[in-house]
Amino acid sequence: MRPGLFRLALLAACALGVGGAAAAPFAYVTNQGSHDVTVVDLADLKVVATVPVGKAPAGVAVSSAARKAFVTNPESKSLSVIDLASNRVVDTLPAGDGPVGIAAAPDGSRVYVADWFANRLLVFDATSHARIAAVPVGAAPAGVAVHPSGREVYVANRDDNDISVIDAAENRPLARIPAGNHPFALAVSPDGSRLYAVNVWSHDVTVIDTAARCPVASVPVGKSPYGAAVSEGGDRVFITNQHADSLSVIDTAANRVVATVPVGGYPEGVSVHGDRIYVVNWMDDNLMVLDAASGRVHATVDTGRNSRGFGQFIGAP
Amino acid sequence: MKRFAALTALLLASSLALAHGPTRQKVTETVTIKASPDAVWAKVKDFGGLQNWHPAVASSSVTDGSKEGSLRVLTLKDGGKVEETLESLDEGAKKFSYRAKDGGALPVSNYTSTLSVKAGDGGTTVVERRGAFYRAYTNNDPPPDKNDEAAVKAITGVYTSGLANLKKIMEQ
Repeated sequence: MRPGLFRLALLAACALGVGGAAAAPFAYVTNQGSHDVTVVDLADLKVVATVPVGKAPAGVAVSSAARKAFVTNPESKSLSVIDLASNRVVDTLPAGDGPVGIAAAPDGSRVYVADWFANRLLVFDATSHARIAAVPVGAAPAGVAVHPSGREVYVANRDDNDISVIDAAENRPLARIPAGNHPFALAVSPDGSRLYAVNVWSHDVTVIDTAARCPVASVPVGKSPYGAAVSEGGDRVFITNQHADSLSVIDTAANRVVATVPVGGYPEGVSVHGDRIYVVNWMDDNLMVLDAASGRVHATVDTGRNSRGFGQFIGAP
Repeated sequence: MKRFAALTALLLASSLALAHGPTRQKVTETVTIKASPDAVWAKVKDFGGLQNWHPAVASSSVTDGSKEGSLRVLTLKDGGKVEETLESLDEGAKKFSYRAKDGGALPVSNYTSTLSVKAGDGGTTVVERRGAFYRAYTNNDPPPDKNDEAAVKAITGVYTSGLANLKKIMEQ
């Protein structure tokens, strides 16, 4: 066999593997009032499991690479680890004084947890679940996002109105970038060039150039924006507006809102998979499924009580 | 050194006062009234007129009527005060929302509330109150009078007593 052909065969095998993993995703919705996680099969929109976790689960990071869902329990100050294959809790770890925001490294090697009351970012090994580091950040750290390269981690310091940039190799702070008033959720573009910080009190989104570490635009959205997700192509950002019961659609080329779509009551968590947007409605206790192109509501699925889904909540074993 | 310690304590106290606990609570209460939606809406839509139908409110002052951004100060019959700002009012949808940064006399913080009026079955009207809030003590290990349960109990009481009295007034 010629080397070129061999490489082609390998590539095909890799593509097949990736395709297989992404074909049957599940949503893991944290329910802060019923202390559990609702697992929804996104192929047929059926609830396949309700997984009891710690007290008042809020944040979630589903990592298909690690085959685990990591859930923060702020009231029991712990992290629950759910195995995606069995939908069972396989470990529960102490996680600071008030774990809220959470994100996993793209390669599934690390999990980053914002410790709300202790103003630090906790770094866990996603395989062994050992705590590796505690990195100082700003006041009331909330949302966490990881650059697609895995090299930098971003934390929204809600009460300092800025973003901490963390060096993921060294687990140390690198920079602080100003945001709007009360930044809560964060999302990074698929190419890693842009970071979006959602500002609850100034009702806007700060667009940050990650290479320059500078804000480049501020996009007004609806009242009290609380969640953010970027489309797979990077051309749209979807923002949930809690006090407007709506979803703002931002065109990332123009950095402006091109559509505002009505959703349920107090929408918070939002994730994207393929051509669908998934919104968690806290007041209505459901997961709403929308077509990304039209904004039309395709279906709603009942979840547990006080659902939040704060983080990237979709993945597959 | 002493001054530094005092400053640190002050800074710590102010940062704690800003932060809210991570567990938001909610309450939804509804009542069905034998009256038309228009009549019920006319009774409840005045942002400065809560004393006209809520039994716990003695009087209120309001800065800008029922316009967005208007601030009302409620004086309760037990002497407590509550300050609330109108966030939105939708005449067409018969719905308004307001918020309070701290609960005042109520053991809550970051409180937002919505009142909506909708047509029910057989010529009735359904009034819904929805509230979202955090407990008054926003850090870990709250005292019993400022915990999640106390917050939910207080707001539930505000809604049920108000809706029961509204029904009584409208059905008289």
